[in-house]
Amino acid sequence: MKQTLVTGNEAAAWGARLVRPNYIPTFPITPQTECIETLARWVSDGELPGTYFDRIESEHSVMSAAVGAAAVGARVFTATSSQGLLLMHEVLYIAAGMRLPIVMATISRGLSAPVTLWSDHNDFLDQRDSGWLMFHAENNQEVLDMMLQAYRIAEDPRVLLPAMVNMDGYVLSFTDEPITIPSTEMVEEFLPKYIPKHTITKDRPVTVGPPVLDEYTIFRAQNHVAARNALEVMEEVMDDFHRIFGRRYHLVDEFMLDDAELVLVTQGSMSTTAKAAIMEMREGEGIKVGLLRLRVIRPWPAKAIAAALKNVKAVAVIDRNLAPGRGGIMLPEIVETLYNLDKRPLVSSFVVGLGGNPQTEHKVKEITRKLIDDLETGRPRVEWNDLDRNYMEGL
Amino acid sequence: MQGFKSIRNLPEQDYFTGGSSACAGCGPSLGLKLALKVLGPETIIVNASGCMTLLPLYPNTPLKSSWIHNAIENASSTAAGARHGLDMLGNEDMNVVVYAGDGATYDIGFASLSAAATKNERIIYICYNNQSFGNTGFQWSTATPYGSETKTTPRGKNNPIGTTVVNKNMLKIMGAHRVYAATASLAYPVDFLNKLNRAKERDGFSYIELLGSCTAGWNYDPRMTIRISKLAVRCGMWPLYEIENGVLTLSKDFSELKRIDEFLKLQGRYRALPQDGVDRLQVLVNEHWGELKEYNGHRYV
Amino acid sequence: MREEELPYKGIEGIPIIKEPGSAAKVNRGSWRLVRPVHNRDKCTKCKICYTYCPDAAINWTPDGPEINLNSCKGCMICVEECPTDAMTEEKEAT
Repeated sequence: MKQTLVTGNEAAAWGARLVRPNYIPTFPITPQTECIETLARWVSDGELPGTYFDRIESEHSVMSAAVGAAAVGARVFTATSSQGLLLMHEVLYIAAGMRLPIVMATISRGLSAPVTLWSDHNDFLDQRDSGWLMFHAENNQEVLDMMLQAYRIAEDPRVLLPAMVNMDGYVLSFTDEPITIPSTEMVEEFLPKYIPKHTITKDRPVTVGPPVLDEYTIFRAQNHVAARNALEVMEEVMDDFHRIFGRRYHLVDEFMLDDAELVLVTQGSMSTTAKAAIMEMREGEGIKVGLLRLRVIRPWPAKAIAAALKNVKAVAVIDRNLAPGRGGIMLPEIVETLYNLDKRPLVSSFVVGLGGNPQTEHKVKEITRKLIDDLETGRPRVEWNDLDRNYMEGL
Repeated sequence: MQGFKSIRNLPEQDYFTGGSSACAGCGPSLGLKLALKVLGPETIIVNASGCMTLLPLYPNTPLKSSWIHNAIENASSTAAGARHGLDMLGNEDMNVVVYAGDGATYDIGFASLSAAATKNERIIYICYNNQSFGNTGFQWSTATPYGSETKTTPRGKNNPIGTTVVNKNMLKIMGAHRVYAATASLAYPVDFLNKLNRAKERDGFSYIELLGSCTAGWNYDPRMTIRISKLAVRCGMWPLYEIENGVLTLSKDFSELKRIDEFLKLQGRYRALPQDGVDRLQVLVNEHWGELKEYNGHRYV
Repeated sequence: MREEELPYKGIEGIPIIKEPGSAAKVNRGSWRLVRPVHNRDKCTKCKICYTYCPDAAINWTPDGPEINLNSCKGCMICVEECPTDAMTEEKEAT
């Protein structure tokens, strides 16, 4: 176990290194590239015995190679971002349908066109119906910790599904943060050797990926049940993680919710900024505001979310993403989750931080004040947080 | 190794059964049946979406080996992943063999194929070339020969020829990847299986392209599958040769080719091709054959 | 069925085929319009019919070819290719 300063990309690479994958297929894309470069360096230096590091000609082929290796029982890691994740999209469904527990780090970056290098969550959330387990980390320690948890959950026989661990590009991927890197012994205690029972071996010929007729709905339903099973498995795994590593995680991250009347629902790295703003607002202005961070996106932890929000007066769903013509992607998910509660909070929607637009404490406080207004007027709003009307009209 | 000499001494063991939903007389099915004779059950067939994808139909499969079907454009990368997965888990002696159609090989899967070949991955790639996107009902691919009618190159008032584009020279391209590249025919199973054994011995990528006579798409009586395959070789439409280290060797040399008419007239896809189209196709065939004869035994790429 | 009633089937619920060659039991004989008939007297055991059958519907035995009518789809390649006319065809009763 050691304390060190690493970037988010390096934290993901450390996660991969500690689980000793058999196969790492890769393709470079900003802002993920440093993750695979780090692994390539370790492989060249002999730090990853038992791992084959592969350079592939596209992300589509990266995920295809991941499927090929996982179908013969290998433990696989890969990483990608943005357009690369979209290019993989077709094969993501296949990996989930074949129930192959591949783990991938995704480093979020806004989608083209126009081109942006900076982070938002559209690339990650575009995969939300693919059947993968989806985790979103807030900081670099959580990136590493989630990687370890992701393998254990994905490979559990009650689950057998691939998993993505997301972090925000630049803000985490390129920022050094102090983290604790666990010892190999601790990881070995936490994560058992992967022994697949449904993949090809030398003495067990198996047909993977056949067409089916009437059974299609059955297999789709099994994919769904496996994902739902993951919620229960996650709670066990997080308990065990706490026992071995001492860090506590839950299905959702609740911050100052005990007496909160107002709640900000967030994802990813901006949650840290929001938490700082919340502490200031509580201390300085006595506003009873708290935060609910979505750290598990799939399967959807509806019960945990509803339990956290059932007694609050107003919720601001802060979406760092956009479904044009619809709005924030997480808004309808939260609204649906709250709809059947006895007492529903008012829900306002804030679309923020597209293409890396920085979310400052000041902006978080603004959102909170707008939510207070909404509560007073009884009228929820849909708000674009980063747009200046004069600037827009002057284009 | 000692090659097979005749059909009589080909292996008597089959790792392929009946009961699939392939058409009666299906060429590509036969190709896979023959290939498995030398590949054996400790083989993973990696399939690209196409007709052969329907060989297994849950819960039944005619294969006694393993099989992975991923999608259409990624058989090579899927196979590369399987290869490295097997190697890292101590299963180096299993065969990884792609069995993909020409659309998946020449067109949509070309990038993935080229990368795997360039990296000299230990994979045998068999392209069963039925000269079309066959499973969707016979549409044009870059493997479709000049003059063939397809569903997306129908003959009509403004296009009497059908396919006017000359097909890609895939063997030359694969030869230029410095891998073992060869053509094969269902009508010459001894040659095909010797080439497959040659590929199996190699510590690297091999590419074998089998003319996959297609009874439905080419529109011929199923009983003619072997006859048509043989005629394709005899008239130069499908010359048998191999390229290794850039050097070309004709596997079947003929002092004189049959005219292509004999091959064309058996198939509906060429039936309405006007004479000037036939003549042009004959010129293309002669040119290609002339090139192969010229380079036979020499550095070709 | 309510969602909470959906059973989890473990690896049985994963779409793989675990029995190699299981298609052998599938009947494709019903596709046939004509059937091949083997005449042992004319047969030279050259293995051509056995080699060229796309459905592996001709088994090879010490006595020569043995036609599996469960798998034979009636393509008649064996009849067409037999060099000694030991394979002939017969119309199936419709």
